[in-house]
Formats: sequence, C-alpha cells, structure tokens
Amino acid sequence: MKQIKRIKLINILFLCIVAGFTSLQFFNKPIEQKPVTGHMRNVPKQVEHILERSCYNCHSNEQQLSFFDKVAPISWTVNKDIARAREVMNFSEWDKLSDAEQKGKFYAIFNMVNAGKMPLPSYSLTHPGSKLSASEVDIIKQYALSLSAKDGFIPTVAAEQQKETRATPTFKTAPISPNGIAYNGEFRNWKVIGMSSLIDNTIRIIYGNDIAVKAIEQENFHPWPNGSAVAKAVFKQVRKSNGDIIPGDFVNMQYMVKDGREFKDTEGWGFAKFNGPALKPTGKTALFAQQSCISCHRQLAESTGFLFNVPPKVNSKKLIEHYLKTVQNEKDIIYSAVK
Amino acid sequence: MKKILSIVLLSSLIFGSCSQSPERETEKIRFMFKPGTLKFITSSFNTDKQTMSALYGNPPALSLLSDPGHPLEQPASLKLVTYRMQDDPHYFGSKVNGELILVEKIQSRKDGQWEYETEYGEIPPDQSRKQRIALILDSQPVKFPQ
Repeated sequence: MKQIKRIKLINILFLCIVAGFTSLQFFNKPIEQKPVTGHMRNVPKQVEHILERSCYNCHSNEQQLSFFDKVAPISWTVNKDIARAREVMNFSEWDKLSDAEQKGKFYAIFNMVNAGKMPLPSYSLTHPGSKLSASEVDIIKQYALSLSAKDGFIPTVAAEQQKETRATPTFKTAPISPNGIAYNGEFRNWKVIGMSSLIDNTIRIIYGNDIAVKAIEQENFHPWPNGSAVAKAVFKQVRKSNGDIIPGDFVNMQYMVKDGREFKDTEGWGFAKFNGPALKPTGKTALFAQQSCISCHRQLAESTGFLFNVPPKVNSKKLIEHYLKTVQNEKDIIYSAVK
Repeated sequence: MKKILSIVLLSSLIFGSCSQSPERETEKIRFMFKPGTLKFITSSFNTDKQTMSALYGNPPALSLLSDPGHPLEQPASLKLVTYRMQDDPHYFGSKVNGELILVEKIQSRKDGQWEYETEYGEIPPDQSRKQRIALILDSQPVKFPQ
C-alpha cells in the first residue's frame, strides 16, 4: 500500500515538473533577428573559421544554437548573454566600425582569448567545440601582429616639423560625454601615475587625481574610492634622430571617473573619451561604455579594480625607500639652510 | 638509525625553508614619482635601450623648452626620470614603465651653464654628463588641447 502511494506521489511530482517546464516555454522569447551588414574583410580563412566557430554564436547576428540553448530557462541566460555580447562586439556588423576601431577590437579579441577569458569558461563547458587550442590562439596573435605591422611607420621629428597643418588642439567650451562626464583640463595638475605605448603606434601618459594616487599607494582597488579619477592622454608616436620615440599629434583624451552609484552597470567607473583637436566625445548614448569599454576592463584588469595602467609591482622596496629618504634629507638640508 | 636520519632530514627541510635568506630578493612595490613642485613636461621611450622616461620641470624650464630662445630670468630646474620598459601585464601589445633605473636633475646657473646630478641610479657608461644635459634640453613639451 505504502509503495503504491509512493509511486503515485512520484508520478504527480513528475507531471508537475513537466507542466511547469512546459509552461515556462510560453515565456520563451526568441533572439532578436538582426541583418548582417558586413563581415571582416581581408581576413585569413583560418582566422575567419576560428571566429565563426568560437565567437559567432554570441558576437554576431548569425547564431547557430543547439536545442538546449533554445529551451527556457536556459534560453533566458543565452539570450541575455547574446544581447550583451552583440553590444560589445558584433562580427555581423563589423563594417560599422572605423579602421582604427576594427584594429582596436581585434587586439582586444586576442587579449581576451590569450587570457583565457573568451570564450566564457561557462560557455565552453556546455559548448566544448568552442574552446581554442594554443595553436589557434597563436593564429589570432599572428594576425593581430600583422595588423600593427601594416602601420609600423613612425614619422621623424623633422618630417613632423615640416607639416604645415600641425596645430595646437583648441576648443571653445569643455565638451561633454553622453554619460555627463565633461573634459577636465585639470588633469595637468594631477600626478603622472604611468606611461605606456601601444601596438597601434601611440604613446600615452596616465594621470591620477589625489584620491586615485592614494588608492594606488594603499592598494585600495576593491573597490576604488568614489571620486577617484584617471586621465589618459594619447598621442601619435614621433621618432627623434637618437631613436627616442616622443609624443606627436594629439589623438584623444580618455577619462575614468569612479562613482559607484552613478555608473552601476560599468563596475562603478564612468568612462569618457574626447577625440582629435576638437575633442569630439565618443558615443551617441551613455551606453557606449557598456558597448566598448567595460568588457575589456572587466575581464583583463579585475585584479586592479578594472583599471589598466596601475604601476606594476616591480620596484625594490628597499632601494626606493632609500632613494626617497635621501631626497627627503637633501630637502631638509636645503630647508634648514634657507631658514 | 633510519628514523633518526629521517627526523633530522625532515626538520632541516622544515626549518631551512622557513629561515630568512640574506640574499632573498627584497619586496617589490609600485612606484609613482613625486615631482614636488615640478610639472610633467613630456615622456619618451626607446625600444633599443628598452627604457621609458618622464621629464619634469619648473615654469622657467617649461618656458625654455617651449621656446629655446626664451631668456632665463629665473633658475630652471628639470628632472628626467627613466624606467625600464616592460610588457603590460594586463594587455598584449602594450608596454609600460617598470623598474626605476635613473633620476637625473639639472639646474641652470647664472653664468648660463647647467649643473648636473643623479638622484638615483647611474648614467649609461657610454654617455657623459654633457650629453645627458643636451638630451634633456632637446625635449619639447607635449601639446594638449587648450
């Protein structure tokens, strides 16, 4: 008798699960269908195949999803991931990007696959075919390097001085990014926290305000304190006769401003970019940071609170402390002499 | 005997690994140069030497580098801070300033000559102080939007 009761209970439970599962399917929205406007052009076939196999299911308008990807509740997560992936990078709308943006996106692709951040480990687990082998990552790397080789020419100082069109960038009123962050010339009074060069033949100077500098000194990155601000000035590279590479024409100014309440969708960081001498703001809407900035910062710079360009830990504490002590002693001597 | 030997070996392993070696590398830290009253003027890097530098100066130095014909009414002071260039640990294709290797300081004198000193590190053996002063004075400030 007891056994019959138990069998009945199991049947009822099973029916409930089936009914619940079936009813979920009524809330199953299909993925938004979008047209293909243009793929990458002049890309080696090998690279194309790798991208199609590992990336297109999320980063395109040409999904080839398996049955279980389309079944609710799994489909809800899949759809959300696809919508987000399309925002960040869409291989079916590659033609909408400028040449510089295409190049920048491809370096980002290599950095993501090289760091093992893409395809997402959770995705690879359920889609083992999307995993990239070491040789495939190398194919991506070689193509990324070939892109930089194409514009490897760095003009000389002499050639730049002959340019009649070179002018000091000017603007009348401070431009404002779509998310409300204004160009702030105050950065020149901030401290230089680092310098960098990028494969795209640019040279960069990174400034931090007092709050950001203090956060770096205290390793206070998780999270960075509100009010931290970092500015990155980007210039084209120019070569001096002694081989030194120096800043040439101004390219853009980039800002990251920390406000945990205002910029919730981008890990508390507000992004802004002002391009060219006219300082034209990047982005048509405030969503631009979600679409083009935070994905790399989130995946590749998590250890330093989503900020690249925090000075690396490579200096000997002993030597630096000795140096700072010596400098301070000299200052004290000068101060007492003046007194 | 075997037991004693293994105890001695084990304890030497445990205590040996925990002891402080005087030759152990010192702790590594992040470093940001504090220029005091000087302002950032420009940066540079050299792929052959694998170095990256930042130049700081006071207002008279900035005026002088902006226009080499500018008369020096006040003493000019400049500091060239040189780091080893290294790969960006976060991003392939990017190089960043790494270990501090040299801090040079030059100051103008009333007679038009420059005083030179190193605050940190040593100048490359193939270069003279005169060459280093010339290198520093052959810099142009970066031009920002105004």
